[in-house]
Formats: sequence, structure tokens, C-alpha cells
Amino acid sequence: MTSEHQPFERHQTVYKTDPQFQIDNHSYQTQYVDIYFLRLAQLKPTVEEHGRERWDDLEVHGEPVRRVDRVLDVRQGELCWVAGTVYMDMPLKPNVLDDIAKDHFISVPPPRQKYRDFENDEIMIEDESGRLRLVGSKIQKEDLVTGCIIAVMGTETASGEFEVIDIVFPELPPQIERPIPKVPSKTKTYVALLSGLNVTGNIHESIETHLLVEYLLGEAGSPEDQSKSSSISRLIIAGNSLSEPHAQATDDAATASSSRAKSKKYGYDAAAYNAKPTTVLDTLLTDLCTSISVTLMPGETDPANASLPQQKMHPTMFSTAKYYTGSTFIPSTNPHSCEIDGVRFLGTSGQTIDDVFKYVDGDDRLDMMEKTLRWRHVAPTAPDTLWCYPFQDLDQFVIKHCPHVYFVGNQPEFGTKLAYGSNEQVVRLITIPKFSETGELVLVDLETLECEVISFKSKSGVSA
Amino acid sequence: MSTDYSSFLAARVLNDNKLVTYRLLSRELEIHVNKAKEYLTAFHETENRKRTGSCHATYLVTGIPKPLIPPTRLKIDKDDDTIMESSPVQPATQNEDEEVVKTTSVILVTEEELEGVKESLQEITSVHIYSVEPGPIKDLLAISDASTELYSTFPTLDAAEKSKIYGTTLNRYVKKREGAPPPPPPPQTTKSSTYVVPVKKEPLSSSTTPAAASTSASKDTKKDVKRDFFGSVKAKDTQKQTQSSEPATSSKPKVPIKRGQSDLMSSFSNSQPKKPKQPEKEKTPPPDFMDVDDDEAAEELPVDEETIAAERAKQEEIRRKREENEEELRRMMEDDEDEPIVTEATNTAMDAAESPEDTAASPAEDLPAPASSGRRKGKRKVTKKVRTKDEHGYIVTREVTEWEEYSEDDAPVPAKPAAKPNAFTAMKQTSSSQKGKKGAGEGGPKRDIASFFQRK
Repeated sequence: MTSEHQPFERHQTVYKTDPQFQIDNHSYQTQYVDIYFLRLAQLKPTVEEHGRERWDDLEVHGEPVRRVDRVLDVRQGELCWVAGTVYMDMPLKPNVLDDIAKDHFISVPPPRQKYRDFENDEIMIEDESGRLRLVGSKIQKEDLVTGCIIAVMGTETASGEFEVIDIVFPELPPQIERPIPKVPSKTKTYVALLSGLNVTGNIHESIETHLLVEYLLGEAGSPEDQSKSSSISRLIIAGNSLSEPHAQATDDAATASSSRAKSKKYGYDAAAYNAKPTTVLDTLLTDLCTSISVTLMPGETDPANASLPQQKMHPTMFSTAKYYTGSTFIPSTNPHSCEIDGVRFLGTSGQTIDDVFKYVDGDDRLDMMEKTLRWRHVAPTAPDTLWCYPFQDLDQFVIKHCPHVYFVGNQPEFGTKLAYGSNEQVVRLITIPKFSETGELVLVDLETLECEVISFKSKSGVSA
Repeated sequence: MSTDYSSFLAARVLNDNKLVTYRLLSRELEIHVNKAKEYLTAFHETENRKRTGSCHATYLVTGIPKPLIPPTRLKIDKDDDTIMESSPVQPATQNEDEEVVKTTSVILVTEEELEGVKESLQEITSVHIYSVEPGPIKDLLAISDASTELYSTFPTLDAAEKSKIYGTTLNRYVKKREGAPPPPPPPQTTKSSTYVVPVKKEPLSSSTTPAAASTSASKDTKKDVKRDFFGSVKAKDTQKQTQSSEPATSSKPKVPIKRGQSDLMSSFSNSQPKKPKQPEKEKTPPPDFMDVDDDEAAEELPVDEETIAAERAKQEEIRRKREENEEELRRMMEDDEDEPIVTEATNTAMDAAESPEDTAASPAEDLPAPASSGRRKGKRKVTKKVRTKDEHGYIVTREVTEWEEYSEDDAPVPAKPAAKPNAFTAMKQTSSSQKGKKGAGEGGPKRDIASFFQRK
């Protein structure tokens, strides 16, 4: 029976995880302030280098531009440039004091989509010495976020503000050349990117998820489809594999609690735990892992630590898939950095860009991604508005090596573009949509870095 | 094979009214998925030739959608307005720097919609049957059900086997880690197995030892008590008697007598729940051992307790004792011999103040010939601190005086039960977990220490 169908063989790729985002000792004792110092220390030399290139020997109206070491050394009326960290003072930004005040609100105002308010926002540049308010149309037009390191050129006005004439970013970090075969190979090899499975564990798991699994396993479709599916060497799941804990549990909990009101429990009630979503995800992963390598990144709704970098989801949660750890099941961090056949991948599960989105005007997520690359920082808004680990020795989010593929999961829609650096860096930017909403799987050709989308849908006669 | 599949499908689809997907069929018959698809098609055709509409099918269509209507590509406008499907979607809204991306659609479709879907595709890569079911399905979720069922019914196979049988894409590098989780039994069992025996044995031996021996032991200890705590010997001894009273009862199990003394019973029920904790709380041997032997054996015992067997034995012991205690108490309640003793239940310390008649009775027992003395039961007054939350949410502590039964008598038979605490003493003993160790460390008779804690 099987002789007539020779099974397709999965294309293999070499996978190297970069432990960049692993945290070894979880100490939350320390203050966050160090992160900004570390970041500035790491990125200031780069920015200043770019600043020198750009502004050295520059004269404006016969006045030479002078470099100033510290923000506070800026003198009124002098043309100069200085590097520092951007701080966005936004009244709409969440504030600890507001959180306390919220307790007294009758109804809590919904969280804001955007913090940006052009009239009231103040953009500052700061370093260890002090802060300087930045003004001017140039800076207003530029979408900046708290925490990015920039250098600004201009003069201090009579009112003590700094009128910005020009800005410099750290720009794309150096990129290691990826191996490109001289002759394009006949067989393509893909890496599949996926995010937002949002497995709920309901009886009716979305049929698209099943279709996806069948497709990736090479069971669905004609031999032609199956051959294509076999060329997908591995799958990266960029977060939100499990949906947020559902409200249905509260009903159960309510009935249960009334029945055993006597035995009052404090703290975590294990009876309210619903293991179903994890079990379902586990079965799906196990099925996938028999054929394709799966890298599992935690996301916002996944059971991992909430602060970035999110650490690997513990294999114990996946009672059967865990037997594939070490071969095809690869729990990883978020953000995640790896090298697949010499192609560097860097990606997050979406929180970073979602947070940058709140600062900037506009919806172009790819543009925001490109900006984070130019700022050389995966999560600039951490720790201001994004939860993160209080780093002590090194800001791990600083991008040291330019990736070839930079992906962000759980975005509203699929999008891709190329970002070019000044030193011939080329980066493929990809926003991965939520699978539960769009049913889309993104394939990246490892050779050309071109993207393809496979969309899974179902259409029934009645509901359509 | 053909009859095989058609009979299976007929049974499942036509008789059981179940839905069969190609995956299910392939798993059921252990055939390649593509073969299963062929079978499903054949079955669908033949059945419908026999009787139109007797069998319904869903299809999986893969292909490239027409570029003009990219259904997945609903652009979100800058002002957050989603373009409705009815409004023309201009491809121009796509970002210029966003290149056109090759899209493949994988669409699951019912047979009614098949043609429509085919038309929407620019290029059809494949169409194959996905499932057959007895009638049109309202909701494709039914299929999802079937897929879920698949996982529960068929265990996941080894990767290589899976691809050989079902045609799943083969990945040679899949390595399933061997080894189920290591068996849970704790390693101590082997280590301490040598200890298990003595632990088990000792309670037996102590209980079986002739009454004389044990009583003599108890006598000695009683003497020691006197020597150690001269001041309040009597009080102590009465307490001791209380302890030693149980053995008598244990030897002859009594039918529990149900009595409606709710107050008294409830006061016991307060204290009793603590007892079961004894085994965990004290790593020391149950009181009986300590009381019996004063030598090194007792010192070793604490180590032994770690063994599961010993633990179990102990728990058994404790449970039995508790039952005995209860019986004892019930019996005590019957003959009401009141001896008010003020006790502070909250710190589980008992006031030594006893009624004069009691002390009058105890001297006899104090004497080193207690073996023959009759048992005494009684009640005593106990002052307890009751903490309640009132309607304002404040915690109110009240002192409540209650009557509690206790028994005090001398058990002539085994010394082991001497340790057996009644409700009060048990609490005291458990609470003072270091007692056992102390006793062992001092090398002195343990009973002294036990009684010392009781009295406090």
C-alpha cells in the first residue's frame, strides 16, 4: 500500500539558537534606572560616531558645529550637537499615580490606543547629567519613543529649549553576510512563521488550526502541495499559542465555590485551573513535532513571565511534546534570535511593536520595526511602558548583529518589506498576523528571503 | 481492501451517521492519506450513484486566489476604518514598498460551495475530498470535532512509522526522547528499609509484653516524675494517669456510644482535627515508644520515622488510638465525675489546678503501685479562648468556660498506651514536637518530659 506513495522528506536546516535573551539569574531586586545607563553606554559611541561623520566640519552661517559631551553642557545660542536618551513626557502615558487614582474612578477609562498628543507631549533628551527639552518641527515629525538613543544638532533657545536642526540614529548594526549560493538551487527551503494560534481548548477548536497542522505534516492536499509542505524546514511560533484565560472558568468557579463555601481557600485555587488549552496545544505540537521542528516562543497570553525577555515556556507544560525537546521541539525566549542555515532571524511575539505603536503617529508597523532596527534596540520602550527585566550588566535588547529576517508576531495583518542599511545590510521585515483571526501562515524562502503566505480558510454552504 | 474501506465507511457514515475525514480513514485502516482520499471519493461517488444525496462531502481546495480580491488582505486604513467587503478594494492602497506576496489558499469547503470557491481562485493546485458525512453539515466545526477525536483515539506514532504508513512528511532527525519520567518512589525506602523492621516490631513487642514489665516501667517513670518536678507532682501524676488510662480501653474495644452532648463533643471536635497531623508534625516516634524504652533504640527511632512503612504503621497506630480515645471519652462522659480544671485551650497549656477531690484521689495513684488502681473518668472545666469575627469585621476574643471530659486512671496492662493521649494531651504532645528529641537527648526517662509538657 505504501509502496505507491513514497513519503516526502522534510528539508533540513541547521538551527542555532542565540542565547542572547536568556536570563540566568532572576533577580528582581534591583532598580530599573541602570538599564538606561547601560543602554546609553552601549549605544552612545555608535551614535557619536555617526554624529561626527555627519556634523564634523559642518558650518552653519559660518559658525562651526561643536560637539558637547553632556546634555547640561549645552550653552545658549551655541550651535552644537549632543547624544542622549529620548524621553517622551506624555500626559496620556500610563502613570503609577494615575493607577492609584483609578481606584477612585467610578468607571475605569479604557486603556488608550495611543499616547501621542502633539500639543501636550514634550520630547526630551537626557543623559546622566540632566534633561533638555527638544523642540522644532524636525523633532516633532520624527516618530520617537522613550528610550531610544539619538544625537541631536541645534541650538538652545532663549527659553532654554533645544531647537533641533538634525537628528542621528545608531542606524542598522553590522550584518554578517549570509551564504547565498551562486546558482539558485532548484529546491526551495522555507521557514514557516506563525503567531496567535490562540488555542482555547474549547470542544470546537478552530478548523483552520487543524488544516494548518495537516498541511504542515504533509497530509493535506495533492502530492504537489505535499511536496511544497515538505520544503518547509521548520516552524517558528511567535507567541500567543494559548488564548487568554477565558471567562467561562469563572462560572465554574462560582458554582464550585458556593458548594464548598466552608473550606475557604486563600491564594491560588488549583480547582479553577483549566488544563484543556495546554493539553490541546500539546497534542497539536506533538503531532507537528513528529515531522517538523517547532520553535515555540512565549507571547503575551502564554503562560510565561510577563516581563520581557520572556523566558522559555517550561517543557513540563507539554506532557507529550516534551519528549521531542532536544530534537524537534524547541521552546525559546521572546524575543528570540537564531540562525537557520546561516540566515539570522530575530523576532518578538509582538509586544515590543505594539508598545511602540502607542507612541507614534500612524499605523505602519513595518515602519516601526525598521525604526527599532535603526535605534538598534528591540524594545526601546521598556522599561518605561513595557514590562521588562531589570538588567544589571547589559541591556540585552540592544541589537548587536543585524538580523537577515526580523519578524514580529501577533500583528493585525501580514506585511513585509526590506530595510536597507548604509553598509549594505538588507533586512527582511515581516509582521505575522494572528492565525486565529486571519488563518495565515508566513513562509520565508531561506535563499531569497522572499515571503509567501498560505491562508487557511473554511467555507461552509450554510454560513457563507 | 476495497470491500474493507467501503464496508467501514458504510458502517460509519450511513449507519452511525458519523463524519469520516481522510485522516480518520487512513488511521482506521492504516493506509496512506492519499489512498484514503481516493477511497473517500470512490465511496462518495458510489453512494450517490445509488441514491442521490445519501452522502455529503467536503473538499479541500488549494490554489492561488485571484489577485484582485485578496480576501485576506483587507487593508486597514490610516484612520482605522476597515474597508468593508462590499466596497471596492483598491490594490493601490497597498504600500508601494510592500511587494506583492505570493499567496496560496487552503480552503475547506462544502460541496455546495465548491464551484464558487473554485471560481474565486486564479489557479487551482488541487482539489481533494476532505470528509464524507451523512448529510450537509451546518457547521464545519463538526469536522474540527472529528479532528480532535482523531488525536484522542489514535496515539501518536513514531515519526518514521507515521510517515511510512500515513505518508506524513518524513523527518529523519526527529528523536523522541526515551524514558518515561523516573518512577516516583523516594530513594529513602531502600536506605531505611533496615529500620522499618524494628519500628514495626517494637510497638508489637511493647504491646505484647506482659503487663508486669510495662507497669514496672511506668512505675519507674512515675518515680522519675516525682524526682524531677517535686512541686506539682500530684497534678502531674493525675495527668499521667489520664494518659495511661487509654491502654485499658485499647485492649478491649468498646462500642461507641452515641450521645447527644453536643457541647462537649464539639469541644472535642475542635481539638481532634489536630491529631491527624501528628505523623507529619513530629518526626519523633509515637509517644508509646518513647514511654517504653529509655535506651538508644528510642534515639534511633526518629530516623526510622522517615520510612514510609513506619509512617504508615504509625498513622495506623495513631488512628487506632484516636478511635480508642473517642470511645474512652464517650465512656467518660457517661459517668460524670466532675473535676474542673481550668485550661487555656489557645496555648494548649493546661492549668494544673485541679479540684480537691481529684487531688485526693490521685495520691493513691502516685504511689508506685498504680497498676491495680481503677480508672477514673471525669469532666473538668476548661476555659477556652474563642476567636470570632463579628459583623463589623473585628476579631473578638472571648473566654468561654466549657466542660470537657477527661479520664484519668491507671492502666495496668501496656505501658505503650500510657503515652496515648486523650484529646487534650494529644494536642499538647503534638504541639511540643521537640519533646521526643529532647527526651532522647537528655537520656532521661521520656515520660517525664512528656508529662512536663502536659502540665505546662
